[in-house]
Amino acid sequence: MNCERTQKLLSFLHDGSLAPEIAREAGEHVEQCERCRQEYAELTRTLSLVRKSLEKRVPAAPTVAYREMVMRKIHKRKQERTVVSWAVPVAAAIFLVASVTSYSFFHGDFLFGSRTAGNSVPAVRKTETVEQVAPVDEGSIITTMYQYADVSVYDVLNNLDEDAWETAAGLDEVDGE
Amino acid sequence: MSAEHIRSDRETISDSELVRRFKEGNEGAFTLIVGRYQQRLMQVARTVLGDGDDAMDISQEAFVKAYFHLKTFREDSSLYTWLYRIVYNLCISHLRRKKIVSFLSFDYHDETTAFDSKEPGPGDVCEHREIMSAINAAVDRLPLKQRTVFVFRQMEGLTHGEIAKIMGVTEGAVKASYFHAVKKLQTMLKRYGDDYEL
Repeated sequence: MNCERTQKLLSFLHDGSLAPEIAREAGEHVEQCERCRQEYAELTRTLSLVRKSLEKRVPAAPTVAYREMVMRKIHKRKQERTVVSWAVPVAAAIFLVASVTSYSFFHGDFLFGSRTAGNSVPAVRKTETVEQVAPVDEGSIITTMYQYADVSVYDVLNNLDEDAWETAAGLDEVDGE
Repeated sequence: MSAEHIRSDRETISDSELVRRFKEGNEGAFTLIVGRYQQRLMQVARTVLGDGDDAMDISQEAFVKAYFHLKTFREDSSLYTWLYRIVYNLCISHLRRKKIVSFLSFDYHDETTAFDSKEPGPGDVCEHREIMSAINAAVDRLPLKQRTVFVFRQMEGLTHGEIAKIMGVTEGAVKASYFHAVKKLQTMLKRYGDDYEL
């Protein structure tokens, strides 16, 4: 494996998500190549620094107050649900009775006396679902990620940034999916 | 049973056992679930929202939602993946709502540009605390998807597959986001050289 490919796979090598064979190849290259070894060391150092920093900003340890607050919210929501579960059917029933009564009263067939024409029921239309299409971003390293990290061209393109477009433009290795 | 025994029992009960007990009507099992995951859910909310102010509310709301749906949880995935998915979705909805509100109040700005102003100058960062805040700012400056993937992977130790399930994207999309998050962080933090330690 050459330097260019290896360096694109370093983050996956570091987090152990490469296929064993690819990881072995990349690992061997890193051991032998001074430049890639340095790059890998720098990556490891940066990630360790970031992790330590993020660990320190993790919210405070679990508190009883937090748990109590959650349980209180649940209790409140339960009460609301109970009210709604009674109020909605009752309101609906009142509305239905009132509608039927007033309709039949004004149409001269007070409470189901006689029926006139026009019983057709409008067809209920099923609402169409629209598939959400993720916005297309831009990027590079398509070939390497496709061949070695099991990332499809679609995924690479869909998850890159605007500033990576320039690099992508220079990449002519793509044979297509 | 001694307090020590009760504590160790609480710690050793598996998630699926807690879910089973809750489904059987044991409300106490849910408080154990809250205790077990509150910090991690807050961390996720903090990461996605990029600000700690709403993280507490949103993570609590996630537990409330989980409570009312746990009985129908089919355990196709692990409990923590399910909880992460709930909190992640709530955060996204919250951000959307906030964007609409700020747009309507003529104060709209895109998230990708919002972080630009936070970039610290080289001279500003010289102390330990400042380095930390610079690193945190660098993480916050990542686009939402990359930031979330990075923290799920690095801090929560989730696999790419688990993250994909939580975020409702493909595993390849997660890998691509992770790759770019790492690359960007390397670029942004390069200036701090090799001498800094936390």
